[in-house]
Amino acid sequence: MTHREEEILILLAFGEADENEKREAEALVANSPEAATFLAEMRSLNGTMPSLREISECQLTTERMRDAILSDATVSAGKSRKQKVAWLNWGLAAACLAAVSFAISMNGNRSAAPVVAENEPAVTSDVSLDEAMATNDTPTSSSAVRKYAAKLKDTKPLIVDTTSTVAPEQTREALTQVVNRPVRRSNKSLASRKPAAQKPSTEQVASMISLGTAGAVSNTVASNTGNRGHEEGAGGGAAMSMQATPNADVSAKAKEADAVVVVETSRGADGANRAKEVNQSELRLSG
Amino acid sequence: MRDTLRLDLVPVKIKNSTNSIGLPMDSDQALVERARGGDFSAFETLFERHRELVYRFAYQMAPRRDDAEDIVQEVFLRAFKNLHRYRDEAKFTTWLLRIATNYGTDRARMHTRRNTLEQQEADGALRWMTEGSQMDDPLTNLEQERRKQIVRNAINALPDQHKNAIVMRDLEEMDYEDIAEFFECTVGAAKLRVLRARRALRDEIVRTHGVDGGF
Repeated sequence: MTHREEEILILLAFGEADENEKREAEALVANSPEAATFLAEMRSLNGTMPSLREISECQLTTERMRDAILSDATVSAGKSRKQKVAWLNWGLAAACLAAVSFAISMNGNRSAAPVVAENEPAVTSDVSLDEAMATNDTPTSSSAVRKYAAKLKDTKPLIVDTTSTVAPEQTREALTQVVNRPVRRSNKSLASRKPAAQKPSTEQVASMISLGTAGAVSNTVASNTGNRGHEEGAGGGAAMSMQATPNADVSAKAKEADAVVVVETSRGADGANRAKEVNQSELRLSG
Repeated sequence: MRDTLRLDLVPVKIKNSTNSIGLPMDSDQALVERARGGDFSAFETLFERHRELVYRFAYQMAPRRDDAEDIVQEVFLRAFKNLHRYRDEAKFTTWLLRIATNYGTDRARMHTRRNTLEQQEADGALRWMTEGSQMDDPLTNLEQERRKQIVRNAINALPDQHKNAIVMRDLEEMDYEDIAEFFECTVGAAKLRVLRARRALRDEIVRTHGVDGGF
């Protein structure tokens, strides 16, 4: 069956077909058992429809409807009032936030620090320093530091804290102590310096003794310490150059000057070997 | 009883009178105008007049009396809240049925899980016990109930467009003009929709119950 034939049969079954459609449908049913079955099904379907119209009576009363409308109106009014309060709260919060951010921005503009390039150390100048230290030990890698060093060269000492942007007070004090220590510097370059003193071996000491050195070696000399000689004294070139040199030099000098060299070494509290400075008083020249 | 009497008196009192724009005072449009102006009794009149129509329509969407009554209540509640949106060119009943369709669709989507097979069976059993039948022959009664259930299930399985067309034309016997207004189309298009809906209903019955459809 075509769609058109089905439509005609449906119209006939539901009583909506006009005269032409009725004739056409009857002819179709007479010639086709399939069409007859279809028509019977649709008539049965149409006959079932009235039974679906039988429904139980509606018991929704006007009073219930009125109550529903009134309660909904009450709830809506409450909701709108709550929404108003909520908007007020949000507005207050936003205003507070704006005020706080404005105050912060104003404070930030007032106490703005001098602009220093990123990754450059902060420069502070509130610690008194040795002038030489201020001029010589200033790191030269930073243009900002160089600028500040040049500016402060004639005015007051400068300290450069490379560890943090703002040094705490304790760190500043510690730095001040370290910097204020008397440091003797040599005019010689590192390349021209003598190599660090080597610990005389047991064989060297034995050879010194066997050579008949007049010098007496202290018990602490070259014992187990990795002492490092200090090549210069405070007196500059006139000072004795005292160090734990290889045995041959020591013995030669001892022969020449007949000197007794006493070198004291000590071990630091932290276990690292450190050479103790040799004072002039600890150098005793025999003769 | 007193309430019914009062509601009955209202149309009688204003019968044969017209309002300022020439509408009969008891027409739907005039009552809507009065309800918009704050006259709650006018809306009550509208409710009394169209409650049954909306209830029957709702019952086809949710075949339980309490569910259908909830739908009716919600429909009139929404209508009251949205009276300012109602345009006079459409029939008030069409507008109500459109609200009912939209709400019924949303509600069916929300309550899909609730409508389990067990509930439907229990509902059917309860209806069988409470409603009974006009027929005397128990076998005929059973057969009629079975067919009814088959057709109702098939209608509920149809898409909303087909379902509304079947309900409006074959169950509520509405005119094609009203159906066309509901669907916002021409009368010819409305007839075509109804035709397609009937064919879809027959196909659904064949699909679920075989060629003869159990008829």
